[in-house]
Formats: sequence, C-alpha cells, structure tokens
Amino acid sequence: MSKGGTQSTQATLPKWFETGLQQGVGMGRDLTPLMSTYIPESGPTVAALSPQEQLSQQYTNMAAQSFGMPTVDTSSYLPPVQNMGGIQGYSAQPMIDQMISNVPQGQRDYIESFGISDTGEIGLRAPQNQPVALEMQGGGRGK
Amino acid sequence: MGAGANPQMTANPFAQASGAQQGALAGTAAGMTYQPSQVQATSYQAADPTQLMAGYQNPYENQVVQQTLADIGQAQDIALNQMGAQATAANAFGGSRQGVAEAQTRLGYGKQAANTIGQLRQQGFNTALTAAQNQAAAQNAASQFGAQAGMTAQQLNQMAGLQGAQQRLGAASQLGNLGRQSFGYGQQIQQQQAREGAMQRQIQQQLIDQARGGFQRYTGAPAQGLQTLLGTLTGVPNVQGQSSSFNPGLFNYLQLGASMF
Repeated sequence: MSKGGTQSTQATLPKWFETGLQQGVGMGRDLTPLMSTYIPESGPTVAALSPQEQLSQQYTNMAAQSFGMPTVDTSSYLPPVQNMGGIQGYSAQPMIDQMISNVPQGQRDYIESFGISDTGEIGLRAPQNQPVALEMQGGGRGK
Repeated sequence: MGAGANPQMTANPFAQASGAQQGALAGTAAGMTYQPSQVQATSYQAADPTQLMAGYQNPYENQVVQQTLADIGQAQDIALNQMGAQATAANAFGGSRQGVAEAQTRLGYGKQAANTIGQLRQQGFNTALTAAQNQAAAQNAASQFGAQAGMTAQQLNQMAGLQGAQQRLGAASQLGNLGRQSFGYGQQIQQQQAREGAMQRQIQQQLIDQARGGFQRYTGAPAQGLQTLLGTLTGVPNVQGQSSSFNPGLFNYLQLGASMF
C-alpha cells in the first residue's frame, strides 16, 4: 500500500459451485450423526436349512441308529429359525446384542453419544454439538 | 460328540466289521486245517459151521434112537419067543440048534439096530450140518453187507464232512464280505454325518462372522461418521479463482493530477 493506496486480493468461486459446496457440506454434517449411529440389522441373514436338508439329516440319524452309531440332535446346534416375510433363516443379531451388552455401560454411552438416540435426538458429541472457535478468518471477519 | 448325542452306543459297525473279520479269519483258518476222516475197512470173522452145529442137533434124536432100539429089541424078543415056542413044539427047546438060531437072530437084530441107529445119527448130523452151513452163509452174507454198509457210511460221512468244511469256508468268506460291507456302511454314515456337520458349522461360522462385523459396526460407528464428515470436506476441489482490487489513496490522486498537467 505504497503512496497511500490499498491493494487487496480475494479468492472467488463460481456461484453454482459455491452453492453446491455449501449444500454438500451441510448434508454431510447432517449425515454424520446418522453414520455415527449403529442401527441393528434385524431379520434373518443366513438362509435356514431347507426341509429336505433337515429330512436328510433325520435319515442319517436313522441309519446311524440302526447301526448302533451315535446320533446327534441336529436342531440343538443351530439357532432358532426366524421367519420374516416368508424368508426363513438365522440371524446373528442375538450374538451382536450380547456382545454389545458386554461392553461397559460408560463406553457404550460414549460410543452412542456421537449418533442419534432412540428418540431421534442428536448426540452430545455429534458435529452439530461440537464447540467451534474460528481463528483463521483474517481480522475476525470470518463467519 | 456334541450336545444331544446318544450316549447309548451298544455296538458300532466298526466293531461289527472287526468281529466279523476276526470270525472270518478264524473260520477260514479252521477250514484250512480240515482233515478228512480215513475210511477204515470193516473186517469180519467168517462164521464156522462146526461151531454152529450144536444148535441144530435134534433134541429128540436120542429119544428116537432109544425108541428105535426098544422097537428092535421088542421085535427081537418076539422073534426069539416064537423061535422058543417052535423049539418047544419040536421038543428041541434048549438044544444047540435053537442056540445057534437065537444067536443068528440076535446078530441080525443087532446089525439092524446098528444100521438103523447109524442112519438116524447120520441123518441128524447131515441135517444139523446143512442148517449150520446155511446159518454160516447167512451170517457171512450179513457180515459182508454190514462191512460194505459201514464203508459206505464212512465214505458218506467223509463226503459230508468235506462238504461241511467247504460250507464253513464259504460262510467264512461271506462273513468277511459282510464285515467289509458293514465297515463300508459305517464309513458312509460317518462321512454323511461329517458333511452335514461341516455344513452346519459353516452356517455357524457365517453367523459368527456377521456378528463380529455387526459389533465392529457398533464400535466403529463414530469413526464412520467422522469419515463421512471429513470426506465431505476433503472432496472440495481446488478451483477457486482470484480477483485483485486497488483502492487509491490521497497521494495517488495528487500524483494523478500532476501527471495531467
């Protein structure tokens, strides 16, 4: 700013791009709590044994019993069959629930504080609730 | 053996196969040591007719002989009485001629008695001999038949024994095949059980993997959210433009005025 004048330089973006950028960032910020939330996957995830396969196992037991060989109750090995919309299968969710319940309550609360609660409230540690102190806006003119 | 397994295992095909195999081996070994029985000739002692004759002697022969002697003696007495009467009638009783006649009469009756008795004895001997010979022949024939039948029976027994040994060998072979068959059944069942067990274990493993994945999703959810946010920010491309502006000051205006003059 020699001889009394002032020289300034300002970065610019096309309007359409800045619009999309702000919308994208806003959407990402809103998605973040949802992505931080664990949503259980209910319903069967592995197809159950078909009736024919179960019958085949019964035949195998009958044959083994006829020959004095030890037999096993095959139904005691696999988890209960779940039926959802006619789809029969096994679900790993009971095991997941048990694994999660084994996590100490404090750790669970911390993990879940980043996401959305069962009542739809955003957690305390979600981006929306993170403290912000802008320090790089040049003369305090930033947003 | 997992939960629900049948603890009552009375027998298994492997034990059956093993027992059958051992039985087959023992039976085969016994069949291999089979020795056929030796056929022994059945001997017999030929019957001696002279030893049998006593049984065929006419028990009434002596009575017949005695009766014959009595009859001859009685006839001799009658003849002698008649000769005595004739001698008396002729006043020659006790004479020498009467004595000679009586002696000749007694001699004749004695010869007749001896001949008659000899014939009777000869007849009895021949009859007994014939009967004894017939018996001896019958005994010999029976003994020969018995000896032949005995040998035939031994041969039949030997053949039956040989057939029995062959049957045992066949049974031993069949037992061995049955043992192998039982072993095969056991193996097939065991393999089928293994296949079904592997299939179920695969399902369990799949569920475990899914559970672990689900748990990792739970624990990693905050980091996933952070990645989403950071991904949003880092996705901004570096396309910003630059514009410059100049705000003149008082000196700039004075300089501009001086340059106009």
